[in-house]
Amino acid sequence: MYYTIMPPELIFSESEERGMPKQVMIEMDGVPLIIEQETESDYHIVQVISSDPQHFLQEKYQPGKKVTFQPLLKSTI
Amino acid sequence: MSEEQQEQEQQNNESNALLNQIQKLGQTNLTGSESNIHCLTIIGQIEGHMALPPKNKTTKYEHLIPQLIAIEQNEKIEGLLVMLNTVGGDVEAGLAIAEMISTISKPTVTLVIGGGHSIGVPIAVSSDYSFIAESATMLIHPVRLNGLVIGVPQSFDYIEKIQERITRFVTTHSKISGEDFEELMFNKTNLTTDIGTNLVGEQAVEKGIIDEVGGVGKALLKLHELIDKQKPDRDEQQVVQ
Repeated sequence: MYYTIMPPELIFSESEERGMPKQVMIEMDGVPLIIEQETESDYHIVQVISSDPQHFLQEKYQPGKKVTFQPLLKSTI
Repeated sequence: MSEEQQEQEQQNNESNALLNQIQKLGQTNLTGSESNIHCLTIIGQIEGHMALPPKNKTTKYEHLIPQLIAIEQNEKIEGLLVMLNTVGGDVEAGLAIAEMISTISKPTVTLVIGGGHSIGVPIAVSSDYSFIAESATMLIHPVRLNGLVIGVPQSFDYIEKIQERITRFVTTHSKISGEDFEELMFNKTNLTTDIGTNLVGEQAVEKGIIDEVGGVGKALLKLHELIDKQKPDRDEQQVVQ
């Protein structure tokens, strides 16, 4: 049940979709991040999803930054 | 052990080492940078039990709820600021988030920036003190039913119950009365293509939904004030214990 100002046809239209890029949620130094896969072990940061505002100030976790992460111990979101 | 297994193990060790390296590298950066106020942003659609198509910007409750628990449990965190810019979304998820915020024992302040529409309204009023930016809007409208309707009386009953839950939450957590809220909800003169009311900044305060007009500065000031007020209580409790 939705209570929103957006018309349902806008929310649920799935036109021109080309499969979602593979995103995973990980934690680096206690900073929860959503990263997106580029190649086997190369990812870039999509979003910081922490509630700690200080986490957003760290340069190495800015969205778009590249991270190397072996596909081990990860969970798909 | 076969050669293949050995190779596999070596690979695992390498990736473990890399993971450790990543974890170790950044630690120096983090010391002493923890904030005593945590902030949650509620943006776009509030996502419910169904993942919405990727072009929707969504707030997922499975991200928010563990964070809210962590905020409640972590002793270093003294207050919570919730920023809202949402178009509404799933009723259950929205009410779940609102209930969580309203039952947190630490001081909470919400700030509506941009928009806090539909199910964003209960979330906006769920805190100890709420703010709205001068230019921000809140759209209050009736709940709509989409899709197949099998039994009209049953569907009507169902939708009415949902609306009641929302109205009850808003009226118990803000100064607006149930009648006034429903009047805003079914207003026919405010919107051209729908029924309901669009409240801009000050109007939301006048109607008693939001406590005050203000921005980030005021919101943080209020949060610090609430934290200071709660502190002696906590100290007293500890003495009693």
